[in-house]
Parts: sequence; C-alpha cells; structure tokens
Amino acid sequence: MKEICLVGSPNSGKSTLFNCLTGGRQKVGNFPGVTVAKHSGKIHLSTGETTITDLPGLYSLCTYSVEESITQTILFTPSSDILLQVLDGNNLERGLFLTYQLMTLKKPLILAINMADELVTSGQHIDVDQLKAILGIPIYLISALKQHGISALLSGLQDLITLPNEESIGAQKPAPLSESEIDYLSNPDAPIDQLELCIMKIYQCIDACIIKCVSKTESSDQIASQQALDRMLTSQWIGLPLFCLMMYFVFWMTFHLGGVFSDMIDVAFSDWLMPATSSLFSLWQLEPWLSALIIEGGLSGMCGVLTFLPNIMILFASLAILEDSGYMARVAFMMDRLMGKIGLNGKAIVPLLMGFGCNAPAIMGARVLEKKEDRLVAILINPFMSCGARLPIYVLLSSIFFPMHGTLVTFSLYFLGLFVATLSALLFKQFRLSIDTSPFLLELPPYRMPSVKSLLVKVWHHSQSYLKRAGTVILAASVILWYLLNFGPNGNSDLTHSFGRYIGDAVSPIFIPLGFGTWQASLSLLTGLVAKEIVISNMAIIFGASGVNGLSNSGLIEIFTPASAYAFMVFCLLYIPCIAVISMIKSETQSWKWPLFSMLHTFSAAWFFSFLAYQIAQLLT
Amino acid sequence: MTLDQLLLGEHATIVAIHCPPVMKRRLMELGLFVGSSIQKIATSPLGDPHEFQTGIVTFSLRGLDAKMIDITLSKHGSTRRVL
Repeated sequence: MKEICLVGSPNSGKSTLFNCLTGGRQKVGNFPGVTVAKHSGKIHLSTGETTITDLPGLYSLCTYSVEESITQTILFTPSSDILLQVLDGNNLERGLFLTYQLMTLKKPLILAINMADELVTSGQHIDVDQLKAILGIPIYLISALKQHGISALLSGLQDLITLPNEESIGAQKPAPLSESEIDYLSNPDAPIDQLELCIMKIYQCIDACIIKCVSKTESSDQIASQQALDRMLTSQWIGLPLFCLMMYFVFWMTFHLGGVFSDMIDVAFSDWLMPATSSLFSLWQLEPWLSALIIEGGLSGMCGVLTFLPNIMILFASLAILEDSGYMARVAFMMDRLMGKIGLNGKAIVPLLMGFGCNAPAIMGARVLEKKEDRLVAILINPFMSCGARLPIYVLLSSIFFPMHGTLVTFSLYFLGLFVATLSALLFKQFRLSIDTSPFLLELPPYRMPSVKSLLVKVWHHSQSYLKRAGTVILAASVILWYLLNFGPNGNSDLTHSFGRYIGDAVSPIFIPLGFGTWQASLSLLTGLVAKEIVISNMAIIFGASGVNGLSNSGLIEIFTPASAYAFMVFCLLYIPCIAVISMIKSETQSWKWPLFSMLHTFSAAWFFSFLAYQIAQLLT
Repeated sequence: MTLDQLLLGEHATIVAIHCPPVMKRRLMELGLFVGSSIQKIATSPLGDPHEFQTGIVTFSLRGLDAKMIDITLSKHGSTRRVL
C-alpha cells in the first residue's frame, strides 16, 4: 500500500492535522541515519490501514537548515508515496509557492487547505473547484483544529491511493518551467538571475490562482490589528519589559499554581498511599526488608518526583502558548541585536527558552540555526538554562529556607543561568573562527490564539516522558540508593556505616568551600547526574521522610543554612547536565569531544559560582 | 533611497536588490521582487532588526541587509505583488 508523507510550511497546522488523522497515536522514532524526530502513525482508510509520516516543515525545495534538508532528501527519493500538503488558508500564496515546487517532483499530490474556520470569520472565500481545475490536484478545505472536512479528506486520500500514479501525476498542471529551471529550484548554487525568472514564473501562476479563486484577501482591518499588536508587543519602551514580565508570570504560575496541585499529590502519597501499602504489606506478612525497599526506596523516591509534575506541566503549557501564539518569533526579533553581541543570531533565543522546559529537545531545537558553529555554541550554553527537572530542587529548598521569597529566589536562579550562558557564549566568541554574519531573515507568523487541543497534546507528550522517567530511571536509581543507604561493607547497617555514607564522604571535601560539604548533599548531587529530579528523591530517602512535606521538618535544616542552601541550588543549576542531555550533545555534535567538554565546562562554572554565592551570602549574614 | 531609511508605517516600491545571492533568493521566495510593494511595520526595541510586510508576508531584516535594497517611496501600499 502506498504511504503518505505530510508536508507543509511550519505554522500551517501540519502537526494538528497529523494528530487529527492518526488520533494522536503516533510512533516517534528517528529518520534513518540522523536523530531528527520522525513522527509516524497509522491512518484508517476504507481499503485498509496505511502509514503517514510527518516530515519536518519547509518553505521551499532549496533548504538551509539540517531539518529542512531531511525533508528534501525524502522528497527527492523516488517512491510511490503520496504527498499530502497542508496549506494555511490565510496565507494561500506562500502555500501555493510550495505546491508549485512539489509538482516538479512528479509524485501524486493532494492539498488540504487548513484553517477553513478562520477563513469564514475573516470573510474570505476560496473557490476550491476553480483552484482544483487550475492546479489539476485534489483539494480539500479543512479545519484540523475543529476537525471539519476530515472525512472528505480521508476519502480523497483513498481515491488518490487507488488511482494509478501516472494518472494523478498526468492530471497535474505545473508551472511552465523547463527541466533546467526545475533543477535550479532545489540547487542552492543556481545562477541567481535565471532563478529569479523561474521564481517569478511561479508567482505569476500563484497570482492567477489568487485572482480567480480568492474572493477577498485578508481584510485591511485584520492586517491593521495584527500590525498594531506587533507595534505594541515589540515597541521600544514596553517590548522588552513586557517580555520579562511575561517570563516572570510564567515562573510565578509554575511556582504558585503548581504548588497547590503538588501539595495534593504529596498528601495523597504520604497520608494515603504509603500507609495503605505499608499496612497491606504487613497483612501479607511480607519480609520487612522487602517492604522497606518498596516503600522507603521505590515509593518515596517516586513521590519526590511525581509531586512536581503539576509544576512541570504548567511550565510546558506556558512555553507552548508562547510558541503557538506566534510570540516566540517576536522574541527572536527583539533579541537579535542582543544575541548578536554574544555572537549568535536572534533565532538562538528559541532553543534557549525551550531549555527552561527540558534541555534535551532544546539542544535538538538548536537546529534552527543554519551555521554549524552557531549551533555548537547554542548547544553548549543550553545546559545553563534551568530545566523543569531542576525546578523541584528550588521549590523544595526555597520553601524551607526562604519561605517568604520563593518566587524571587527561583527567578534569581533562572537569571543566573542566563547570565552564565551569556558569559560562556562570550568566552566561546573569543575562540570562534567566524562570527555569525549569516543573513537574519525571519518570517514572523501572524498572531494566533493557541488551540487548547494542541496545547494539551504538547503538555501530554512532555508529561508522558517525565512520568516514564519517574517509573524507570528514577525508580531504579531510588531503589539502588536505598540499598546503598541501608547496606554497608558489613551487610545490613544503619546510615552511618552504609555504602552511601562512604561514597558521600569521599566526594564531600570538594564541596566544603561551597558550604555543603556533607555526605548527604554530595551523594544527592552524584546521583543527580542520572536525572536532576533524583536530587530531591534522594533527600526524601536519606532523611526517611514520608512525602516531600515531611522533608521540611527533617534533617535538611541541620545540614543546610540559608547561605549554603542557596549555594547548593546554584550548584544544581549549573553543574553537569543529566545523562539524557549528555547523550543528546553527543548525537547532535557527532563526537564525544563536545559532551566531555560540556561536562568539564559546566562543572567548573558550577563550582566557581556556587563558591562565589556562598562566600557573598556569608558576608551578608 | 534604501530600505533602511524607510520610516515606520511608510510604503515603498522595490527598485533594485543588491543583496548577495543567498539573501536575494530568500527574499524572492518570500515574494519580494523588483516592483514589489513593501511597508515598514516595526523596529526592534534595541534599534535593529526591522519588521517589514510585503504582500501578506511579515518578516524581519537587519539594517545592514536592508541597506542593500533600493526603494522609492510610494503613497499607498497594496497587498498585491506587482510583477
């Protein structure tokens, strides 16, 4: 059976349609040979099931970034696959520009003009039958968001699959381009004058389509309101303060709103689940060590991490809103000059902000940068962006040691991360062969109300991977740690003679100048290399606290002072990234040199700034 | 006059594009040719880059690149591309 490839420009609603067609059940893998996420899923047609693959978005066949070039390679591979192009109905010209280029590939093509619902409200009308006649391609008006027109599209796909390829390709009416002109379209070194003629020919065809098929272009009111919004959000006086305020609000929400739900989960675990399991185990007359392993090791470790799921969900939702609304592109626009000062392009701000969610996908997101050196710098400074997994550490420690100033303390840490990232970029700039001079041409998508559904899908995907980690790596680490803490060289022993104690003691001298040279803190940091959340689950196990709330009145106050607690948080913020990030750096840079460099770099930065923070804090108190 | 001299809200028509081939190609892909109408929408709070609109595409361009595009002022913009 022929397979389907989903193509379209970024922001055309490609992912929404993909989720809609596959019912959200997708398989995420990698494209062969490269680590670019490959989303594929099954779609049900009346003749059976077929595979649909979501290709990375692109605007034209001539590609500039790594991700786009993957789409290009797949498109140029001869196969009998069907191309399904998604077009933004509000920006039909741009979509058709890609359509005319796709027609040169000589593959069966079907168009889905998306956002039909917005067209109705803005008073536009697209004459689909007329457009079909002009292009010779099946076209469907849909709204992926509201799921309108999907069944018609499915039957259209069905028809195209059963039709012999020669017939559907023969029906296409491409732009009048010669063979050599077609080659120019995908060749980055094409002679510019000939190419100009070729692109103009395509735009002439597009203009003909628009004149015949679109009854009313976007109303001037709408353009005016978009422009007014742009002027306000990027204005000289309030543009940047507004951005800072928005980020502050995001963290405030994460901290306070998330805290409410966190408390509920914590109570559920410590007051209900753990006692219940404990009494169940004693009813079954389970071996005491096994019951302790499950409850004190597994459950309390997992609880330490699960408690913070609401905070992380809010953070991811906020980042998704910034992205989907079109604001993120404006942030890149506003930051370009500032980023230029550290030798980067404005677009580099996007992976940095994504790093606040999770550094691993953010490092992958550095692919938006076209130059290899730019990408490397963006990758190396990314771990300083405080990810969601580090948030629980701040939330917990600041609630104990800085109960009145939680948000402020957290915000200061995020800010410090940004500062160290900037400093590092400046340092790297000294050693760079060439500083970015690549043209900054960034398309600014129209502002749009983010859809609740696509937000939920995004948040769900991230939460899923967080939960998966809690159930696998973190659970395993918690159990191992419990063993290390309850057993020593002489077998079953108490904390003071356990393996954990010895390991912690061996490492702790490094941290004495930083104020937290205790074995408990050292052991937590060491295991935190697996995943940063483990620092917290460790604390819970070490102090035998049931639930995170229990930690506040436990031994934590004995091993930390406010000064050393802050220094500890600074260390957690900056030190060696987790395994997932290290391996992502490896796969993105295709060498072990850079992950090793990153480990060394982050560790030295962490030690230095933590030392500074502790010494200054001591002077102040 | 060149595109970087265009004031906020003003409309202009492109007269010549002297950008390097890579940049010129991208501008063309956005639908910006000699004869296209362009309007300046906004300037970044830090003074650079600038935001322009041609047809229904909104994009940002640095002053340095805008300097390489010759324009003439026009009274009214049009959302139509002139070819």
